[in-house]
Amino acid sequence: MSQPRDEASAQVDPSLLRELEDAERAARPLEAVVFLRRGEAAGAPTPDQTERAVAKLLRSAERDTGERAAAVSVFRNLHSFALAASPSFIRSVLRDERVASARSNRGASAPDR
Amino acid sequence: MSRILDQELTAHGVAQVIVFLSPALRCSLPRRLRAASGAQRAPRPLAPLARHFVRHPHGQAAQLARAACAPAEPPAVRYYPQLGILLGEATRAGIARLRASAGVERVAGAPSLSLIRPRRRAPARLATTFTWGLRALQADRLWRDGWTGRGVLIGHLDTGVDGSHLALRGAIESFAELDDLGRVVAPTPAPYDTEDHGTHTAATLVGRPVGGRHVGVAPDARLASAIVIEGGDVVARVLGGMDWAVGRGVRVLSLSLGFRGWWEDFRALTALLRERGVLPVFAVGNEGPGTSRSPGNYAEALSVGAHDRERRVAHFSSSQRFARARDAIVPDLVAPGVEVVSAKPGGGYQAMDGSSMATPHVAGLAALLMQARPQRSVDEIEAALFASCRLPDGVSPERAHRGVPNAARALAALS
Repeated sequence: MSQPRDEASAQVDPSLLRELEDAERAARPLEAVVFLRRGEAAGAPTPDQTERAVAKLLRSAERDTGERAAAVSVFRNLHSFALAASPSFIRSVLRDERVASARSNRGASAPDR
Repeated sequence: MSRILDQELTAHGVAQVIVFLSPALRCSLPRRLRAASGAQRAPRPLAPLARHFVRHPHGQAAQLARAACAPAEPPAVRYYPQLGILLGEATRAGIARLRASAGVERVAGAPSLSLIRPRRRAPARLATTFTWGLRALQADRLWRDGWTGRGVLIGHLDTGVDGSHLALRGAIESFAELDDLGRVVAPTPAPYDTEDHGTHTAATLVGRPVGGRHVGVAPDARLASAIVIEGGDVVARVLGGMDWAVGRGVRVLSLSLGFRGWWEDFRALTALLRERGVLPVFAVGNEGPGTSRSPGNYAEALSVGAHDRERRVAHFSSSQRFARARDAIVPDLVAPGVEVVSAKPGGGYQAMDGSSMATPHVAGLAALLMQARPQRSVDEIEAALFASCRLPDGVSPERAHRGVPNAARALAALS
């Protein structure tokens, strides 16, 4: 069973860390995109496995913080998800060992054509 | 060390860094060296620091110099007297030595800045039976045998698509608009384009003939098309679009967008797309030699640069060498991407330039092969496309890598 860690070992985009600090100061929610680690099992994770992994991770963060995410979008085929939540909730998510990396959903890293 | 700097070093073996000299060192320099202006070679008193910089063959400066056929290599490091900094490329070990050196206050990654280049657009008439891009690929040689992309669904994530354009009628299997958190907006609107980029790339992929004139490489394939980019672009929209397209059952994903530089996050997703049987065909970027965009710069992606009618690599087409064993050079190949005539929202046609225009040529070609050889894997289709490439005379593999693909040769490679 996955346990929250004391410190995030996930690769976290510096702009997300800055946004977290700003959001904490302003006491406002923010958005993040989270990429999950793949398990030991061979083959690509199925959409159902991704759904279950995200649900477990969110429940864990809910227990940790006593809060809920304002909005979640699960990318079932991509083993990842996006969420809007409080800074403390997102920090709890980032501490979870199931998380491989995370980045800000907005800002300087926007794609262009 | 910042994550971005760490990723640059992992990807290229070198990174551009700024070394901030300590006030004590700056004051110790002769006045003439402090008062000068503009970038210059590092002066003798800074030689102990300058020797930690490298002129690395994978570095951006060297790649730019090679692309420009410069007679001499640029200096490994430049000194900016008014700023009190050194700017140059260094390896991981070099950065560690710089950080440990006396007289160095700080070492930081130097972000790559580039102009936001307007994409060239020009009004155009469709005056020929086939666009020059279709002729360059010899796509019609596969059409004659019945390989027109029928039954193949292509993912198209862009600014949207004008589904009422004559060249796109019946070509859109499904359409979606993603919100800022990557959720599909309901109810689904009729296919529309927030700009004109998506209609252009869509018609290059699957445009139907109008009046006997063709713009689409796979004129019987269909699109799962989603709006993922316009003003206020966000990461989750692109991911939501990818996820939606995979769920629709696409076999090729044509992505004419990217994030400048190296983004590690999308690499695992790109590998996952392949595992799900989707060929990721991504634009490499429009910022010239020594640059690239993610996810087009991953070894896991089929990355596409642009060439012109004379098979010369377009000056704007990105290219870059990475410090990795597999597929070290991007793009993987180049395709028609200059003066490409395709559909314009509201009707008619226009010409555009960009690796965005080259990408759907290759994705469409992949769709033809998938119809012709439906049992072949993503890796086999990609390998056939690579095997079909020829490097035009006088074109450097550093810019075009494998060169220009050919429809007939690619199909033969699958036989």
